[in-house]
Amino acid sequence: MYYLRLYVAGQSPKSMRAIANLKDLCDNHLMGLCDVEVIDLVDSPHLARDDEILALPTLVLREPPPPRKVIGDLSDPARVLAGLRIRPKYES
Amino acid sequence: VSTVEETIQAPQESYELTLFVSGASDLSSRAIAEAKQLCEDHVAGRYHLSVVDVHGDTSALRSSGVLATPTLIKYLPLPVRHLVGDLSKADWSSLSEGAHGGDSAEPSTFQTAAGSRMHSPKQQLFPIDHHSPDPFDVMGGRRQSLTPKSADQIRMEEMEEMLRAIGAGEVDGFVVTDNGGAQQVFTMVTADHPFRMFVESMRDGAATVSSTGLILFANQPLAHMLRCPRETLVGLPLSAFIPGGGAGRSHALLAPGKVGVTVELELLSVDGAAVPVRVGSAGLDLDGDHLTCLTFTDLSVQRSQDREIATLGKSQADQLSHLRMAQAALIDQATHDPLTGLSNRVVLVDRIDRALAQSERSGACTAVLFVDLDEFKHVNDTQGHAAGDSLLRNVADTLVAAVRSMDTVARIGGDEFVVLAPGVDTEAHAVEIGNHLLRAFSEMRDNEGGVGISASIGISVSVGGRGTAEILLQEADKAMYQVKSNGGGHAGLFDVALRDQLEERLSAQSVLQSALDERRIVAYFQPIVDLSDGMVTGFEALARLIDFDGSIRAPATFIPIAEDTRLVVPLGGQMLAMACGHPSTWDLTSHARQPLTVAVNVSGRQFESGELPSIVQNVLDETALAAAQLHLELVETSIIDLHPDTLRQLRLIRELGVEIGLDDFGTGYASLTHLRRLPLSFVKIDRSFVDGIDTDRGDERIVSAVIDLAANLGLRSIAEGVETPYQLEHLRKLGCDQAQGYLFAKPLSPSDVRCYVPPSFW
Repeated sequence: MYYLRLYVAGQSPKSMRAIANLKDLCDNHLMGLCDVEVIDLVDSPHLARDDEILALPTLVLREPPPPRKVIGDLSDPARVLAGLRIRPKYES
Repeated sequence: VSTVEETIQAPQESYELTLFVSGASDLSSRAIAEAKQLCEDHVAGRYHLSVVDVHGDTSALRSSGVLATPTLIKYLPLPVRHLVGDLSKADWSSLSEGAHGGDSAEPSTFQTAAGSRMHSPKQQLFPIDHHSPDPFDVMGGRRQSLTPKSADQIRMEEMEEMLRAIGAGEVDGFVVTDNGGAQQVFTMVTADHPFRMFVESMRDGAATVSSTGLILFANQPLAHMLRCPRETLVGLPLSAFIPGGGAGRSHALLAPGKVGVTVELELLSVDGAAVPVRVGSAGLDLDGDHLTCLTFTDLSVQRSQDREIATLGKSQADQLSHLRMAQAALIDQATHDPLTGLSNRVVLVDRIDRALAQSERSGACTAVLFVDLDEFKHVNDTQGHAAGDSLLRNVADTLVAAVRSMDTVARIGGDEFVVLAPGVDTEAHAVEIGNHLLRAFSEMRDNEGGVGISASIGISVSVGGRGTAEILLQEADKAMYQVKSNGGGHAGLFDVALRDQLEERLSAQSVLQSALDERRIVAYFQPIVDLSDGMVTGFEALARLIDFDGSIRAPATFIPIAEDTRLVVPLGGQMLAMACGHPSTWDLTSHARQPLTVAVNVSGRQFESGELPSIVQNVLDETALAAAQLHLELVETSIIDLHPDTLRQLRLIRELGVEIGLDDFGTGYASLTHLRRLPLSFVKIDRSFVDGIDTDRGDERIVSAVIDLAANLGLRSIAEGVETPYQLEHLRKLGCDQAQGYLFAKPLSPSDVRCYVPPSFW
């Protein structure tokens, strides 16, 4: 199981897009085997400390270790998977 | 697996590789050394190599997709490349191929170390076990880093990733940590903020959908229509909400050639209800993506009405249509001010609450500007109500023309207007808006040839959704009063000092409210003495508040707050009922006239309900007090703005037999006309004049004039605050009828009244 955290800035366009892309990624590339937590830093900016977040949106792979970060709207699934060191799903 | 502790600097274009080995075999050790050598030879100082031991963990082996060990996988730069087998013969170019500007969407290719490359349907090579807890987990084995990264290195990589994301336009928010260590989030929302506000305030549903049919954005009305939280909607395919072949229909709706069309279809809410909607679409090309913006108009109400009409005959349908028009008119009345057509308080409060919810999400500021016209009463008094109404309509038009279309202008009282300005940047910006409104008023005055008015504006700003509509309105109101007390005609911000005052006031209000609830307001009585013979004619009932510690508080500490907050209405009601219950218990035969009277103070606000005469009648009935024994005292300031209905009520009360007098006479601005029109029996001379009667010639003349005036109008004069025998003597000489004050007695508790004996000066 992947434990992913997506840090977003409220309903900013890139944050919304990142949420949509991550859902797509989880369903189509990770077969739903992920536990995603979306954290809105506009609501709780202090939570940025946990993963030392600087830019938004940022996706953090918390488990399995080591932690990995991908910054941006997650529009390129291959890049996101590589950034998280998750092997992409191969299409037949 | 042996571990090599080594830190390698990784500047740009760093390589991320993982070597899969099985157990601590010679082969594994050699593979590790060879992989490291391979990297050193080709990308020295620019790689990060990890080793995963999959020995004895077949599920990890299977799920990692590695069929044989050793396998070296290069994850970054894209595309992913694999090398399987003896690494000493490996060709680096097959790993690095396509790394620079390569197409990451290209399927990964595999090459055995021996050199035979396979392009393949990868499922044959790496069957994926869907029952495995993690079919893709390359970290399923024991992972060890050959080249552990330093904290600096990790940070640098993150910075690189951030710069890349910013460059690619994938970032629109930043977290900034201040000196105190607190985080703050800044978002680039300003560019599309007005648009978002507009979309959020729409009554229709709205959504942005990607070319693949995923919902990227949905507004609250759409979430409501689909009975699904907005966060959940984002990322779901639109087709999930279109029943029966939804995918086909939603794709037809989203096809580039179809934009601009309107179709009617039924959406399926998550609770299974069919929602008939009219869908409008518009294309949007953003950063090379083709997006579709959709609006959804809920047709359920219209449909159900259509059905109703279809089942009725024509005449009934006509009746229904009339009813609907009447209903629409009622809704309009309930939400709009009939004079100016502006929104009323109900709508305003709703809009403020919405704006606060919005700014809670966006972090923006919301400004509420309380606009009160200066000297408006003067216009009504001197030019008549028609001129006043016309001025109010002009003011409404001026305000609407001066604000942005996204702002709300409401009229919430006679000459009180409120402007709601969501999405302001700072408090200074809000003050600028206030000054802009004042300039608009001054232009209106110039255009009307000098006829116009100035205004005082109080401003309250909520940052990030702080507070509620009521709090913001209260704060803006308070700030407006502050502006008025400084001469008016400008805009002022609600600040910390005012906040303290407001909190103090709120706490005083709650103290008073609980005192009223717990019946801790009691009546004390001060005797009123006839100056011709020293006999007690009656008592004035005065409110006292008993604190929790048993101490007794004078009215000056709570009457002003009661007047401000309208708590004076229940307070006045309690005092009236209490006071009227007492005279039957008084037994002062030797020094008092019979029957004794009781005077009760009445606030102007007690007339607002229009029911004071019946309240008085009920109290008289319940306490069996004769009407002639009850005197009501009006504060002069409360009847300056004498409303015709107040006059009607006063006349009704007088007809009951209750006497009415004017309190604190001389301190307000009641005109002599008022004195004639009001059904008065007495006036009370304010203690401030009585105080100076033996030292100030001016005060003496005023007292003398008031006594004469009262006599001429056929009214009794009663002096308040008499404290010395000299004052008493003076008042008697001037012809004053009655007096009260410490010289005779302080206000007495009900038990002290029974044994009261007046001092004798006669």
